[in-house]
Amino acid sequence: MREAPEIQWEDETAPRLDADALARAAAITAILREEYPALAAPAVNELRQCWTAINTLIRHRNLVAARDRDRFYRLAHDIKGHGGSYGYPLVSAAAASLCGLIRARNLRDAAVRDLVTRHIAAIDQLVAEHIEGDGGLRGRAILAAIGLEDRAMRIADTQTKPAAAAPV
Amino acid sequence: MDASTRYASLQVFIVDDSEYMRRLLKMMLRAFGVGTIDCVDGAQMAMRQLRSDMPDLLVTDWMMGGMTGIDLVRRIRRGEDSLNPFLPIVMITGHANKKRIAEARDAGVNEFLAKPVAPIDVAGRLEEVVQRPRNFVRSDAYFGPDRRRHQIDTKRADRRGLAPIYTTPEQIGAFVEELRERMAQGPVARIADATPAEGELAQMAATE
Repeated sequence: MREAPEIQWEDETAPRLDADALARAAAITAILREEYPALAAPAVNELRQCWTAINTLIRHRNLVAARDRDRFYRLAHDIKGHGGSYGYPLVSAAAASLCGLIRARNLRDAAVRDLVTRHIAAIDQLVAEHIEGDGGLRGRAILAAIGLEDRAMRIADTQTKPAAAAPV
Repeated sequence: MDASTRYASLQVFIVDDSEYMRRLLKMMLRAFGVGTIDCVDGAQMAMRQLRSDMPDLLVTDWMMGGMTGIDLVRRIRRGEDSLNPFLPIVMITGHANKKRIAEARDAGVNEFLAKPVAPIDVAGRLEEVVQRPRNFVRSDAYFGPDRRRHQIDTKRADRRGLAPIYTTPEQIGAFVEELRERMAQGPVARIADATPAEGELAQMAATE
């Protein structure tokens, strides 16, 4: 099989958008940010309910059903996916960290369970308090409570720079 | 032509199992003036829908329950049941590492979008796909849009077989038939038939 060409990381061919397109993009961003908390609330609620069910099973029978864990991961992964796209990168950061806990840690461990519970509370707070963008001091404090202060700082840093999307 | 009318006749098909992402993408595409936007929540459903629909662009998430986005791309490009292997495809994923980007490119994706998806990035990909369509390349190992973004000076002959851009359903149907016939042949026959430059590939086949 012939080798495919090297991936070009600097997109010299990036399209130039006209002023109208840029204005539309900015307007859409503002609308999305505004409507996200109402949209995301049911997803956060579903995440919390799923965790309550997992927790109940652990307490009573000391086991985690693979199906429940997969569903829990899927819900967290969804929130990770849409939070940032709607202008709430701290929500995505907390959800990404939660995904890591679900995949890599033993949920029957009481300390891990406590951390998971605090992650869900953090996501809930970020959504309920409309903490968008870099989140400022409040956002940083919420992420610090789940050990993600560095992540919050990095987000604050990237929010001031335009994101470069890799071309195919 | 301004952005509000440029994409009015465009039909875009969104495949994503997240209701939030479907809503987000739909909203963005609508704001950029895309005329028709259809959504489905899974790759299997998309394959079924593509039997009756002929969208101009498909936007798909990578990670979905059941059949994944990358499987969908491979099936559209090389599947026996694919009705439009030339369909432009934009792949979206939250895991935008180099390995994944290469995998998507080699599956035949036209453009790649990393989450979080910003409106400006969607507009850029739309512009790229519509305004600057890439030629399709077919070889024994790959079928899809030309993966080279840059002209590179080389003394060697260009060994890629460039497929013409087909526009009518009849042309596309004829090409799909041709692809099927090729796939039914043995590997040596396919190499010998793979639009060799200066007879290079035919020579390779003869020495096997």
